[in-house]
Amino acid sequence: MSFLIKTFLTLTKHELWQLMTWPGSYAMAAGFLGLMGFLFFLVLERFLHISQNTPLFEGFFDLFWLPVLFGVPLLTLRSFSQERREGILESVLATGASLQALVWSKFLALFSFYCLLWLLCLSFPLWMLGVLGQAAHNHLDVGMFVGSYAFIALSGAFYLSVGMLLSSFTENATLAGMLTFCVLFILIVGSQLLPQSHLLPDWLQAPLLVLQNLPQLEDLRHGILDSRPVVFYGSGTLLCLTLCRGH
Amino acid sequence: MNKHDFKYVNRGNALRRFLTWVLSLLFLVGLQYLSYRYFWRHDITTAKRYGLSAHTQRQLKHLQTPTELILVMDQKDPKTELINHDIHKLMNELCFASYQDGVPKLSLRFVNPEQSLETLEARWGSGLENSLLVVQAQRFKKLPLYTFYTDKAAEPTFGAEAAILSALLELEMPQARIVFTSGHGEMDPQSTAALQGLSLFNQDLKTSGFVSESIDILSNPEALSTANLVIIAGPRQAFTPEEAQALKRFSQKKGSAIFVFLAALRPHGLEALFEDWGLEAPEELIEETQAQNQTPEGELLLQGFAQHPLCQLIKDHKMPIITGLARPLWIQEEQETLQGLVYTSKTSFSRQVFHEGKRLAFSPDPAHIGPLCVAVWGSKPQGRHLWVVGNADFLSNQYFPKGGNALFAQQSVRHALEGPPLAAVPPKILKERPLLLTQAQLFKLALGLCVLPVLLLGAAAGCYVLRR
Repeated sequence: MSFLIKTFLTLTKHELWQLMTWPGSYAMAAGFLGLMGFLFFLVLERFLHISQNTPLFEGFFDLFWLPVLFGVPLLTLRSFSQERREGILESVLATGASLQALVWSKFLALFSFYCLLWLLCLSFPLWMLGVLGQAAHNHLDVGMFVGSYAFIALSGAFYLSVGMLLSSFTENATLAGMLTFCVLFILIVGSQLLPQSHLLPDWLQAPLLVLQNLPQLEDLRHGILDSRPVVFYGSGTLLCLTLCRGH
Repeated sequence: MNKHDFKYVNRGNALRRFLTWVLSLLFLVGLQYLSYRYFWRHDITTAKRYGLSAHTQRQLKHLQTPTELILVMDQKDPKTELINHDIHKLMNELCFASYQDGVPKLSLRFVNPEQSLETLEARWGSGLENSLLVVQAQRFKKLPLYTFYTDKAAEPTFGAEAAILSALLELEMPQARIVFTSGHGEMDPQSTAALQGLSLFNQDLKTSGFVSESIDILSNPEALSTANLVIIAGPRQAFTPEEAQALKRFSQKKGSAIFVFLAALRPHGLEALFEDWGLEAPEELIEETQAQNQTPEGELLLQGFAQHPLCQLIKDHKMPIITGLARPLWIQEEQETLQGLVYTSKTSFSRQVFHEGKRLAFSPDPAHIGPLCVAVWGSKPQGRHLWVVGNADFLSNQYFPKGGNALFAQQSVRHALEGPPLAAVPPKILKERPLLLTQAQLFKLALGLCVLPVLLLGAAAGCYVLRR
């Protein structure tokens, strides 16, 4: 047991170190924050021109899917495919480390990095508070931020695990990235179009609503806890990570 | 191990992988299905701005009959975007809260009036656009969307939860019986005549789930005894003392309600009943001196409303009651069972026209100066109610759709037959969030947003150089 934990911790540290010393991580973080900043500015501009009775940041978090669609494939494409192509994966597994310890360490490192990227977005409301002072208070609802971040963490874990699973199938990192993008596009954008589809029978439409993530985000930021998205994203993450292939 | 053995091992591995995938997916689908049917949902906020009140959740958990909520509105109209969002959210919450043993008791349907309105109107009558239908088997209730919003002082509120819950509970209850008295020249609930017909009001009662009929109270005492509400709509001849006594006895019955709409300048013979409640309806005629309190046709515009749940919606929507000739009502002193609801303006007055059944000579002197009470509401223990209006034609087909007349009548019927509004379900307060920015502040914000990405790009460059 202690060997397993030791292996897991060593591998996690290694993965985190890899991410911290890879220039691409910083470039990706810069691109992510640049995109998020631009989106925030667009939402702010729109907000100033239309009378709204919802906080400004609700509109901002509604666009969470845009950085997810591009950021998650970029984060996960290298996780297995590159190591497999270079033969590192077989070497690591030959040391006695289990595949699951390797998968979970990679996942934990990526998930931490993903959460860190989103936490850096908290600089926007803080900056807004600094510039506007009291006038910004109406739009800075702590509960809304906690709920939105809870959703982003929950759904992010699932999307990252999907990316890792697809990356474990191929040695080609570009192919892994493209596959992840396509699957996430279907999961995020396709699920929003489900209710408009007349091809699905009525009895199937309602259960498939669990795939729709915008209502789930809305619920969480409004302080409504629901077990269904937790079960969906939690079980989906576990399943994807369990199915990751080491060879 | 020979080549043959590898072949079997590889096939075995492929089969194992295939089975792992199939079983895993089946497990995932099964888990989702179970979690979809048996779930836990809770609003952790104290304000419950987006969730349902505990009272609503309790009531929905005990809903007996499957019910359908049908929203009839153009859901792509940008003007109604906010209403659409609020009502959708609430309907979904109601549906989630109605789950019993993994099955929802409430189902939802969203209808675009441009596409399917004809089918709905064929079943439930006209005027369904921009309304929410609560349908239970053959019974239904129509809730106009505009009644969900109020604009009190600086705080707009959204009160749809209470309205929908109230409608659901009404449909769960046995159908209330309403009887219209006849034989005294009353207005006819079946007639479509402009001033003597009540067909619009009667239709409205039916669409609200009530059963109505016309009876002669002496020849049909059984119908009277089983009624929940008796409506006396504009009698032109006085009730006999026996009839008045029968009505008085009915008014003393538990859960009874009597609505009296008195025609101006006509005897009514209901003194015994009114005396029991401490009310007087003198044979006077109200006149208005200012044009602003009259329609161009000379009808009265009644805009003085008391603080009473019945008047709240009309006040919130600033809708006047429009009537023809009206008489004042007097509440006897030290009466706590009666409350004045609607008043004329300060510029009105009343003139005595009759005295003990004889017409008096015209006198320009006013008997009383406004504001004069035109409608009173009385409540006694055991759910007994009396609603008297000093005008009858405000419910007629000509006046019913005007101003706040229909709303006032609907609220009164609901109040009498279903008790006071659900106090346990407060309306949601819609908070405005204004945000004003100067050009300089906007520029400063934009500049600040660029700082972090630039720093990170610098870190990326530094990291790249160090690694090399």
